[in-house]
Amino acid sequence: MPLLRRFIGGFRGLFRKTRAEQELDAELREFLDTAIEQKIRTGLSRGTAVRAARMELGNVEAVKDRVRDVGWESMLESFWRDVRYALRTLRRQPAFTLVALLILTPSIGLITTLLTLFSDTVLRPWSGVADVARVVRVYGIAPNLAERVGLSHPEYRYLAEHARAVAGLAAWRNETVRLDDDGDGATRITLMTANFFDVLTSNLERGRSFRAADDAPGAPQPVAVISADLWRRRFARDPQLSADESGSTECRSKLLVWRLERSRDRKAALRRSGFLWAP
Amino acid sequence: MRDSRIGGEDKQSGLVQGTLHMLILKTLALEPMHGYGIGVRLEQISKGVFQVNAGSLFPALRRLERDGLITGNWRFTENNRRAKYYTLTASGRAKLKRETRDWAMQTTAIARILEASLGEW
Repeated sequence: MPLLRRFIGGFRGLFRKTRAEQELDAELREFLDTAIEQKIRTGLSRGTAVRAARMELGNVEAVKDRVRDVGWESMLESFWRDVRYALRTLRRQPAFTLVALLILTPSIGLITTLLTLFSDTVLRPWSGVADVARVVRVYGIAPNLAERVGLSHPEYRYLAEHARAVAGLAAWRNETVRLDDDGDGATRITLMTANFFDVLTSNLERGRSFRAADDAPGAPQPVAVISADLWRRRFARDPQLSADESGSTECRSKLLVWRLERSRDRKAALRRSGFLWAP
Repeated sequence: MRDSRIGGEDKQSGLVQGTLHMLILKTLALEPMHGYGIGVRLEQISKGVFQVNAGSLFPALRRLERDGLITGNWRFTENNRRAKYYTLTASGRAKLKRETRDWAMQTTAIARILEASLGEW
């Protein structure tokens, strides 16, 4: 409550500045008059009393400044005064202003670009996921090794059925495989539970996401999701590959394309997750 | 003691840091008073040990008023002069109670430490 009071008081002070100043003037005048009167009563001459009272009050403007400094609004006023002074100075020196603008504008632009790139590639590698702050990773603990290990499939299924603290639980395992036409090396793939994209609330650009039946034992037809980058690079944006009904003979899978809204998201996701996902 | 904002004000008054607000509240708990009267009363009660100048007193009064611990009203003095009289609010009274209790605890603890001899440890 004191914080709220200070805020309201400061706000009021901003709009009732003249009245507050007048009150302070009157109060300090009254302080001086009373001090003089009291000193005369103790037997001092008027002149001596006035001098003593003035010394007691001190520098009136300094006292006023200290009173004005109470509260947050004084900082706001001071900031506004500085801004106005800066604008006046810049207007008086147009050449300096122009040079400063020519140096500062591209510099700020360059730094902003570099920081944005750094943020997207290093600080936010989970881009493409709707709400990163709600994603947690669940590990098992090996009692003898005292270190984090992955969960077995039965453990995952038990947790997925019983865990109440999470909205959904998905599991995955990274593998490296060689696709039929892999001329230039192995392809990283991620094997995952069918609900993976639903749990991460990621949307697909084309086709459909996995269904529960897709990762059941003996699923009728294997399916996979590929990244937009792989779709463009390896399959030349073949629309047939992303159609729900058609299958790729090469992969013997239905190919669905994971939509990653911006190119930098896609790059970050690829670097972390590989570029083919299968249940 | 908890409010360190008034450190500068206390240094000028020769007060222990953070105690000026508490002393003003205590003075106003006795009766409503104007700025000059508060300064004089503090000096009288402390038998001249604390001399609170205007540069310390008025910012402190402004803070207390802003925090709703005291309220100021203009009225006439006994010498028929207009002056701003400050009165303790209910929040101010509660704050004074807390501050007094804390102060008593702290001074007792400090006294114990200063009076302790080696054998007691």
